[in-house]
Order: sequence, then structure tokens, then C-alpha cells
Amino acid sequence: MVTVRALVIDDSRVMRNMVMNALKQSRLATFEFTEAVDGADALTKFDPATVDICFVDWNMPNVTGVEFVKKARSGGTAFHIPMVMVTSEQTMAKIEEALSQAGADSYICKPFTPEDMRVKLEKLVNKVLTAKAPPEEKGGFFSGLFN
Amino acid sequence: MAEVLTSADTFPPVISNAVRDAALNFFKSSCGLKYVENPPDSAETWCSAIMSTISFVGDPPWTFALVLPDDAAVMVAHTFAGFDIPFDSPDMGDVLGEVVNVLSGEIVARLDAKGIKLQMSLPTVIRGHNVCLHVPSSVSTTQLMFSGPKGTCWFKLVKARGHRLQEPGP
Repeated sequence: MVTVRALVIDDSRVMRNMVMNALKQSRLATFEFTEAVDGADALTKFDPATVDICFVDWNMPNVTGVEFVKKARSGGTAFHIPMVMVTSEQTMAKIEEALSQAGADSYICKPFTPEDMRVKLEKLVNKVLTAKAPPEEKGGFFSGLFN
Repeated sequence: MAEVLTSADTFPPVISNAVRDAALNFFKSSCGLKYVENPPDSAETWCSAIMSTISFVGDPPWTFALVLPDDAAVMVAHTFAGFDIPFDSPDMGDVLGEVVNVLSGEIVARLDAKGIKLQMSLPTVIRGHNVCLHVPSSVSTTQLMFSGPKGTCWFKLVKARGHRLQEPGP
């Protein structure tokens, strides 16, 4: 079974657990989690080769969530890694800043439910699963020719 | 020219209403707490309590403190996090910080819709036994109380000295 490797970034341990529990309950995929306590910690743990998706809080000490997304994107090798903001910031200006300026792919407002996660993330997670699937499971043009 | 909506001596109703409505929405849906009209001043009640504060930078600068006695804190924490968190646990400060963070996000959004722009700070949480909250008498404050099966909790809203809330321009 394909596992989605998620980096969960939040300065609250309780909130990281809530994000991880909601993702498990959403049944979108089987997740394997790495936790980071702020944006600076996340930058040391973020590796496009070993992380499939990031869940990022906004307001954190040291390096904020939006700064993390910008820095991770600026490396040039992480454009394909979905960045999901999970934050209490909910004004249109903040949402636009995260999605348009920083390059986040999705935006989930706290508080959230597993159903919120499922609805908001289904397409993103399916994209990750498809990218990680073995070639014969991707259903490409030549799939099935040699079966 | 901007119009002065309130005197410097009163807490701006537009802000206290936003806090009340955001808290009503949050507590009603997640904790079964009800708003108490004309509450007694509980800020000087001695008890085991946890206080979570956030400051807002804008016009005017102001701060709110959510004060929860121990039983109410345990109830709110359980409802918010989905699992039991003892009052003396390190996670209690963590979860109450998140509660005010989420509430503040909604407050900022409600005021933003009225043209009032604010930036919020990170939360600060203080817990203690036999504590009471004193606010300087020279600043304008207001209090909002909520009650439920496990007791009451309240917000103390404090506006920075000398600032006047002005109506945003067109």
C-alpha cells in the first residue's frame, strides 16, 4: 500500500495531534507523519525526496508558516510538493497572501473536522498517490501492453 | 475625515460585539456554553484558573484575556481537542493557547468585514492556583461571561490607554 509522508508543522503539540488524527479519520490515505515545532524546525526536516505533502500553521515563532512555504519553494526543487495551510487566519487578504504570493496549494481554517480535510484535500492527496504509484498502476498510455 | 465612534473612556462596542459573537459561535457549537447578560464582575474571584491572552495591533490596540476556572478549562479543552487533558498538564496551556488563537482568527475576520484591520500576536497562557486578575483602573475594559454545566468562564477585554477607535475611511 502507498503511504503518504506528511510533514505537520505547528507550534502546538495538541494541534499537531489534532491535524494528524483528522487526517487519519479522513481515510484519504495511509499517512506517515513527521512533526516540526515551527518554520525553522520544518526547514531542517523538509526534504522533497522524503516528504510528499506539508500541513503548515501560519502564526509560529522563529519562522512563520508563510515564510516556510516561500523558503521551501525558493529552493526550486519543491514545486511539486503540496503545501496546505492549516490556520486560524481567515480573512480574504491572508488567504490570498498564502495562496497567491507564498504559493500554498490549499487553505484550511481552524477549527476543522475530518470531513473538512476530506473535502478540501481529496484532489491533492489523489495527485500525490498517483505520482507515487508504481508505473503499472498509473494507467498510462502503455500500461497493460505487457500484461 | 474619520469620525470618532467612542470616547477614550469606553471599550468600543464594535469590538466587544465581535468578541461576543465569535465566542458565542465557538462555545455554542463546541462546548454548550451560553452567554450571560449583565454578568457580575468575576475578575477578582480567587480560584484555580488558566488565562490565555492575545494582543491585537491596529486601531485601537487592545488585548483580550480568556479566563477559565479549572473545571471549565478541562471541559473546553476536552471538547476542543477531542481527548481528556488534566488541568495541571503541560498540554492544558497548549490547548488553551490554540482556543484563543482560533477565536482571535474569527474576531479578526469579523472586524475585517467591518473595515477594521488588525494583526494578532501569538497567545500567552498563564495558569495558577488562588489567582485573581487585576486590570489598571485607568484603562477601559469590558467583560463577557459564558456559563455551562461545568461552571463559568469569562473574557476580559482591555483597550490600550488613550486610543480612540475611528471609523475607516471610504
